[in-house]
Amino acid sequence: MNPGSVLEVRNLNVAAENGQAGFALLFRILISIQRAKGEGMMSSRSKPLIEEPKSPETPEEVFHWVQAGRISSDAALRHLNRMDNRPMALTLGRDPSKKDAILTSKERADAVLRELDQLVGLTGVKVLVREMRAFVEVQQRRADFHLPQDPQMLHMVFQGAPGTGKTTVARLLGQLFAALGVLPKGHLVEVERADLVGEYIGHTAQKTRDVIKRALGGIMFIDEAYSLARGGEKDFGKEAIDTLVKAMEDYRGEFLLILAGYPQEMAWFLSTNPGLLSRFPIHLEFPNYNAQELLAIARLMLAAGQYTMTRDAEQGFLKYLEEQQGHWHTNAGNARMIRNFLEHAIRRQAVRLADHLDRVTRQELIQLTWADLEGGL
Amino acid sequence: MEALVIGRPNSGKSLFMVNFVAYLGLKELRLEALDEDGMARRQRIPFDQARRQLVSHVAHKTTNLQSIQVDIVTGRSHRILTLTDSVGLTDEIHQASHIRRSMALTLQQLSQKPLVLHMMDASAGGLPWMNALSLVDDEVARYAGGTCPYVILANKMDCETAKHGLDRIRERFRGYPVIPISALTRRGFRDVKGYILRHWG
Repeated sequence: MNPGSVLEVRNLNVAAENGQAGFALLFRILISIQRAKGEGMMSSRSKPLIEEPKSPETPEEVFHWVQAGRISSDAALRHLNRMDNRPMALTLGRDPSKKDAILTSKERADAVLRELDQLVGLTGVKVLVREMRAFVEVQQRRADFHLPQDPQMLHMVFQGAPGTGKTTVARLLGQLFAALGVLPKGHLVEVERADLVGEYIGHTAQKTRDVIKRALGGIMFIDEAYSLARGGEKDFGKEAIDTLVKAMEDYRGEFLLILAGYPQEMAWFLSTNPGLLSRFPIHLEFPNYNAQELLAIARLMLAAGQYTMTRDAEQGFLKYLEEQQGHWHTNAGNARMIRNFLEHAIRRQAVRLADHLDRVTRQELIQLTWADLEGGL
Repeated sequence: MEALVIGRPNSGKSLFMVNFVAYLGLKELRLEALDEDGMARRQRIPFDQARRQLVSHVAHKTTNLQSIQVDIVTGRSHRILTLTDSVGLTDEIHQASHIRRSMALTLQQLSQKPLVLHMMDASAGGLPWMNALSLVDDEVARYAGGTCPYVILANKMDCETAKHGLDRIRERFRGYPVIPISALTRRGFRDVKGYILRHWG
């Protein structure tokens, strides 16, 4: 029996004699004993702590200690583990920081939408992407209230001529869904026929499954998807389609499939397999750009490379685009065609300036004239 | 993406790396070695020479971090994997200062959350008299398993005792993915490549 408890017993006797008043006294004495005990323990343990800290505080310190031979690597890992968990515990405990995390996910989604808005034209696409974002957010809110969620499939078909922004939009959608938490990773796996279709019987299903595995958690983007159905009865492309359709059921909600291609070909493709059309509820049209939009694209492209067009170059270019509108070849390439025009114009500008390179001004280096553009049209 | 091969000494990290990049299609080893001072040194070695030069039965043959960049072409995309071979981590505090320095660098790499390939010697795990799975393995699993993409590679599956060792590893590290491989015979490399591609991010 230690001296403290002897004292307690004695005090108990005193308390029994003095009745009510004794109880208060007993209480006070007990508390003071407890306090003295605690302080004694603290002081005896904290002394070496002050002289030499028992554990490192930062990861850098851990690495330094390992190097100095003070701790072994497993101890170092334990310390690192503890440090990693600490900030997480803090954020969980505090409300404001948790709110920050939600805000940043919302902000990230906003940033993606802003990026989308910077694309020229594509009004229908922008509206639909906003719809999808709202839908996803409302579904998440419904889940908070324990309401049933609508298990809507978000697989999509992108129809449009080349160079109308299908790949760009798909990439942005991946980022958006990752920000909203629909897809865990949101990466884009771009594939074409050659990545899915194998060389011998039974190879295709295996190959397609491998690609699907890679796309899990993100978006699988099949460009020129109609080519899977091309090639007749014995073609392996059919097998790839069947595997895809099955995977869409097996990995429901784990990845998003986007089929892209030219409008007519896609319409034909969806009609080849009865299960396809109903599995892709969302169809996005990527219309050809009109002359004004093409000019805006040209301005953006030039601005990115620190070039400008003179006023008459712009007018001439617009006039040319308006005249040609509706007469382009179907696969002319829209934005890609504009890029080719501009690249040609830049080359012609270079030839024009190359003669008097020593006298050339900054302004001349930046400006493209109508003469530069005209030659390339 | 960064991938770090980590494990105890003599678990086959270096041989795995040399053979794995050969499997991924590299013609020769373009090695970037980070020596103890943190300076990068580049060298090119043909594969047969690399096996002789980098791999050994004696523990702690690898004394610094060395990384290789591999292009992986999948579909249309073209991606670069940086595979880093590390110094074996030991339970005890090592007596040589340059090994300790490299261990510290290894831990530093680990704290940057790469994809972690945790190499274990399944053949030694099968032997009853040797406690081949150690504290440091537990701690690596606990640290990396929670934060990074993480997979255990049970190496040396070509040995006879390895089957039992694999069961032991599976039992002890329940809940973590385990891929049985053999760095020597290249067994299981396909699964490792698949795992890396799936956790690309």
